[in-house]
Amino acid sequence: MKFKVLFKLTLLIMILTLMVTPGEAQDKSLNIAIPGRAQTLDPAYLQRVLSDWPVMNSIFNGLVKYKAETFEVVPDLAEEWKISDSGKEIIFKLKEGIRFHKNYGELTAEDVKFSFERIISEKANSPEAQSFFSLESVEIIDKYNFKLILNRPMGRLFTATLPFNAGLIVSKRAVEEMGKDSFASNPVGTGPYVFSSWDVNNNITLIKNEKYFDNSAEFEEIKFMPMTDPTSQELALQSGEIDIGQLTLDNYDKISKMEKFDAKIYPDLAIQYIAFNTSKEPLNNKKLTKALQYIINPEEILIAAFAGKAEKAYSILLPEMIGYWKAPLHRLEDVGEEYVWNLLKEAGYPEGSGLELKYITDANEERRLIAALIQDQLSRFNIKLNIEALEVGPKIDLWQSGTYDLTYARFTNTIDPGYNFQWNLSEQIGKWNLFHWSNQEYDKLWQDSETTLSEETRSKNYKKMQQLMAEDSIGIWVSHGVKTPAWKSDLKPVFSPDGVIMPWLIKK
Amino acid sequence: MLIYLIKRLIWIIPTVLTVLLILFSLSYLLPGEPAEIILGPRATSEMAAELNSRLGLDKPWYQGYLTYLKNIFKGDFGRSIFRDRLVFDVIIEVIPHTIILTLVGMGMAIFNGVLIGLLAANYNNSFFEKFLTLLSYITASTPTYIAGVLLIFLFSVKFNLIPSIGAGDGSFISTAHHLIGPAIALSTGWTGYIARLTRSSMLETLELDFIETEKSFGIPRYYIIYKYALKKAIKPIVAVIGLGVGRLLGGAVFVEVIFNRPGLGRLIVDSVHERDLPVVRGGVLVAAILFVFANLAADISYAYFDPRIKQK
Repeated sequence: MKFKVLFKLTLLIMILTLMVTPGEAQDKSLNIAIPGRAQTLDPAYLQRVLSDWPVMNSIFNGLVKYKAETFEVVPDLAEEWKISDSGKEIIFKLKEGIRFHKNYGELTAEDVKFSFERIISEKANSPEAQSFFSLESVEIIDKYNFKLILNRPMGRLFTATLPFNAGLIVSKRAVEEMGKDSFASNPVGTGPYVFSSWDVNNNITLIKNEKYFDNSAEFEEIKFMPMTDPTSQELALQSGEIDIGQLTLDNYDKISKMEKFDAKIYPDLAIQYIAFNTSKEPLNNKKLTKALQYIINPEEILIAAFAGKAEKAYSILLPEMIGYWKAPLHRLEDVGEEYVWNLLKEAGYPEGSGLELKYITDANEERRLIAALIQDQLSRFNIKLNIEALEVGPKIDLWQSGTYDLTYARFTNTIDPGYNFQWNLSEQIGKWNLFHWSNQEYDKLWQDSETTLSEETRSKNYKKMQQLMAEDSIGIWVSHGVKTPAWKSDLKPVFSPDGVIMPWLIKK
Repeated sequence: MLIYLIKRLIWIIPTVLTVLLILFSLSYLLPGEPAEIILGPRATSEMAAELNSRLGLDKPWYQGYLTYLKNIFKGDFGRSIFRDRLVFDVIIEVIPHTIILTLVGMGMAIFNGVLIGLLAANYNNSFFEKFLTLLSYITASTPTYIAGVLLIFLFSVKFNLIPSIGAGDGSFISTAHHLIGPAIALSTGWTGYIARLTRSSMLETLELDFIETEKSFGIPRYYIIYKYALKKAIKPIVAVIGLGVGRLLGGAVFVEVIFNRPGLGRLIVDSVHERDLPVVRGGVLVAAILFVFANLAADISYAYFDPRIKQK
């Protein structure tokens, strides 16, 4: 009979634990789901920068920052700066009286020098070293003034390096006292929230910085919870365990209509595109690639693969970025089928006959679907598409050797157009130039934009580069993809133009 | 018994060595250039070279394998590519969560499974037995990930009774509370299996002669069942526990991902996605060792119940 007693006892314990309501639902902290586990909290060693960005920018500040909901750069720790005529020396003045967290003292020019020079130092082996590629040194003038010395003007300095992760300022004293490894899990910055803990669930807890120099933070505590599975994020949002998370495209309509939640669709910073291999037969034929631009209809891809939620992309860049140029749309309805049949004929493929193309793509459900759609669209013009769905490794091998006619790719971007455009340079053929396209003028314009701080010149050059790509009909921009943040409707969250949460600006 | 034990322990060595060889060859079997796949376009050639040397790809394969073996036996699992931490530390941190989850899940499966099986055997051929059989078929054929999502939807979203994410803050109540959903989800499949096994084994036992003898002595029915029949009928169940722990370790991967719990399975899945090869190697090795020891424990306990095994 011991059995029965044991059974009753277990049942009792189970019921008792059930009566404790979920702890997370009640505490006063703001819980934000992030797509992946943070890898390190040391800005000099971030590998996957985008998912860590909301956490890092809550703890640290840079000299400059992006203004809320734009990519416009405004002062943050710096009060003002002056660029020399040569563009190789920039004198910054820091705001006075800014204090590091946990009594690590006042922010001075020493900390800035330390933060930047530890990234460019050779033995640091920092993945961010490239962001500062032309920085020679930082020269201290006095406590609040310092000079960045560059070996040549650096285009991306203000658009991407300084306002992004590489430009975040750490406390010199904290890194030296703790050592690099310990600092990576006990970061000390000047930001609106102070690092509190990083637990075994990989949750990162921050508390309010009472002495913050700018608008003070609204929440006593913020918790970042890494949740890789989107369905789990949805369920946790509904059970009240997280306050801000992402929705899946399948359930977006259902949940965003609920009274308790608000949601918005943002474009991602990435670019998804169809690339034509223009280096070999048959797609080295501009007439033919032009015909393909009309035949392949990205709108159908958007409906099938993104549930009609994603917008069509017209550029590698988002419209908010410097140098955005809207590529012309090629719509079959506008020109009529006859026009395309003629293009095919002029290209040497009357009635499309005998044309077989090789298409390589990733071996996942979504990409296979896209491939099947394109196959169907091409078949209407008697063009046969042979699809090869591959794992990443072999796919990259084929990309680099150029053994394909068409491919579908997704490249993650940054806010700096120079970074995003570099993959289509001639020197990238055999690496990441999927068009296998070479254009001397494009290369030169890119190089010129890298070495100027003039926004006007850069903008003009980038527009021209996009026109060059469009003239040669080298591919089709499909979409930037989507981010689908959702939040409890009593919150007022603020996002960047690409839908990344800015936790320090959230109001109740 | 001692000789049997030693024999079994010696067999562990070739098993683990084989696992190590397979894990090591991962970086050679993966098509493509590992540094390029892992680091992507951001990689400079210095970063790629450093990664290759960390993965042992800059040496001929046998040298790389020997170095890898030497390091493993020194307890050095290498350094994670993306975490900037030792693989060993990362694994040690999450492994208690997986062990607790697996043990509690196994405990629930045995407890509920044996209970359902006994009831079904006791009320054989009744309507109640039909119901229990149906129940065990349903649980046995529900995949862990479906059970997990259903549990979250029902008990977290609808009734708000159990938390759907994490492993709690470390206190006993919180840990237990966070374990309910995952452990039930994990145990469902195995519960049905054990219930069916218990029922058939029990029915077989109840027809044996010694039970008839005991009945004729006038010993009460429940006493016969619990005292004599159960001890014999439970042997096949003990034998499958080792197998079950292995299966549950596999199921824990789904549960850990769905409930966002820290654990070995989740660690391996995340690392596969990130292509953090040193962590994948270390995690799979530890999982394999756990599996080997679970099987060993099952064999030993089986030998305890069946003395004939000891003599072989």
